[in-house]
Amino acid sequence: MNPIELKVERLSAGYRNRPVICDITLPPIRAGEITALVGPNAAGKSTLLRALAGLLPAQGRALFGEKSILELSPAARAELIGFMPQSVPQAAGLTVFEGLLTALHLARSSNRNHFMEKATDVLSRLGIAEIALEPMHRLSGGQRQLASLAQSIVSEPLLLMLDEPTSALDLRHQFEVMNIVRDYVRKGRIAVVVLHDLTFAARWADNVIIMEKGNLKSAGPPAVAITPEMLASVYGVDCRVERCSCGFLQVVVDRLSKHR
Amino acid sequence: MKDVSGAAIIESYRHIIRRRLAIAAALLALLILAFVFDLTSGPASLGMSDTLKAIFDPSATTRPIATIIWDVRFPQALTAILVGVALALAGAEMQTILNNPLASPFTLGVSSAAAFGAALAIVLGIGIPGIPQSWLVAGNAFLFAFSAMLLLQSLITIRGMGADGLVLMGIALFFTFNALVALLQFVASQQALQQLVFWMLGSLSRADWEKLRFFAVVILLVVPFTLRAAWPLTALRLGEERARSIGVNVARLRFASLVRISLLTAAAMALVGTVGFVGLAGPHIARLLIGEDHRFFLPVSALSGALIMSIASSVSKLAVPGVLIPIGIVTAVIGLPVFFALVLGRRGNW
Repeated sequence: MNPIELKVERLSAGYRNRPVICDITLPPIRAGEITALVGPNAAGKSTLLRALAGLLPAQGRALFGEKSILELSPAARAELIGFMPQSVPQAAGLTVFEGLLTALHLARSSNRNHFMEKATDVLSRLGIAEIALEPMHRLSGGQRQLASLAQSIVSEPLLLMLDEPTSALDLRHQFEVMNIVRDYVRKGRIAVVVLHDLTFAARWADNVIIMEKGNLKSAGPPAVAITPEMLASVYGVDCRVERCSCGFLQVVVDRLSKHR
Repeated sequence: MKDVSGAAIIESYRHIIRRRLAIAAALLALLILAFVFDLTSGPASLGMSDTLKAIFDPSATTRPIATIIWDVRFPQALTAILVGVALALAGAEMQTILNNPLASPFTLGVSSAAAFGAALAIVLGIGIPGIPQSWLVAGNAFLFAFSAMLLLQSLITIRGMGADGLVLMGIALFFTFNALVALLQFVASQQALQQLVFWMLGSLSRADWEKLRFFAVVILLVVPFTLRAAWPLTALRLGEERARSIGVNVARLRFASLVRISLLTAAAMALVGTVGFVGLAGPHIARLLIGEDHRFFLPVSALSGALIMSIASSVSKLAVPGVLIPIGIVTAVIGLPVFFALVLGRRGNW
């Protein structure tokens, strides 16, 4: 049996009177893989992610197996998709643990008997058990981001959509978070992650989708999608794409491109 | 090193829950004491024993005392509590759906709309056709407060606005109705003007059993829905996008909240006029005591609001012997310094 796939065809989405992505079709996103969405600012990465997560009205098709995820009710969508927003509110007077219990209570699929155990398990996996009972307004930016990631995965959705999940994290935590995402998709789930750092994306993603001005520019395994020519065209920089001693791709920017 | 095992977290959380229940119980006990004290206070000097005798054994007391307790103090004391519950709950929901700590039931112009409704009845005698004269002012206040909120909701639905748009439109309504009230004050007779000003200061002296019954029905109808929305409202504190991503229909939640807020506020204002501060302070005190898990935050807000109103009711009768100070003045005068102390003494965010 083929693994389940997320297929996005001719998807358009945007904001009131401002279309951002038009008619975009993506290569199938397979279960068990991390797919990185990259591109310059205002390329439409977050808009695409938010449209797929049902947070923006969208036209077109997005099929997860046989399910059309654009037509699901909010509750059914929440059961299927775990979304992590780019910004995490600072003011919440809830503890990290309460945030997780709230997410679990509202997720229809959760077994209501073991909420607390599930919440503590996720906190331990993310290494933030010691801040479980801290109010979120007392946390650092990085800790809030980890708490937000915990809320996204605690109900164990099949589709994980993360909007810049490591932007406020130090190197160690960036590595730990992506390790967790890697473990998460190994169980037959899908992760679509918006990232800015191309070396980081190439290190962790099985496939990379490069977007520009709401359109798909390139897609495939990092070594195929990320090329100096493509980066010059999309970002306007002259760069080298090299392999480090561990075998991972590295993007080194030399200068701004003259021909842009 | 700190013990951070899963079992330790769960045990600590259960301890927090027990602490919150204890705080709620303590507030309830204080409220009962404040209520009994409110019943004993008033211009007619009745002691505790007279009051308790009139309540528990009316046949053993004189008719004037029974009348004072049952027809004047009891409805007023109960009204104070119910108004506190209504305004604090409305304030708590308003602060959550607008994500704004400064929000109160009056933020979106509800009080101004109610005042305009009352002013129409008092100054021009215009009211809902067929309504008894004794309900004219209250009926108008309720109708205009509720209609203002529905108008607001319609505008933001048509324009697809979020919390910021709601606040902006609310401020526009606030100034519009204030201007209309000022216009009516300008053309009002001396007597009508005095009556209107007294209404706008807020007073428990208008309370009677009939109005209290109406108010109690509104509260009994609305509060279960408010408490049922505790989890989605808690989710909203995690951010609108997060709430939506975990299945909360934020637009529907906001609409339902606005309907509940307008019903509670309109009913409270129809009964006692403008009473500020309670809707702002009740939720802040609750947040300070037990955080923002709305399963506890909403009931503790209601208890805090009721306690403030009950204490204010006693103070309004005792501050100046022989004079009943409008309760709206009392809540502002005694409440604001307490509120400032609470806010300034607090660490961290709201």
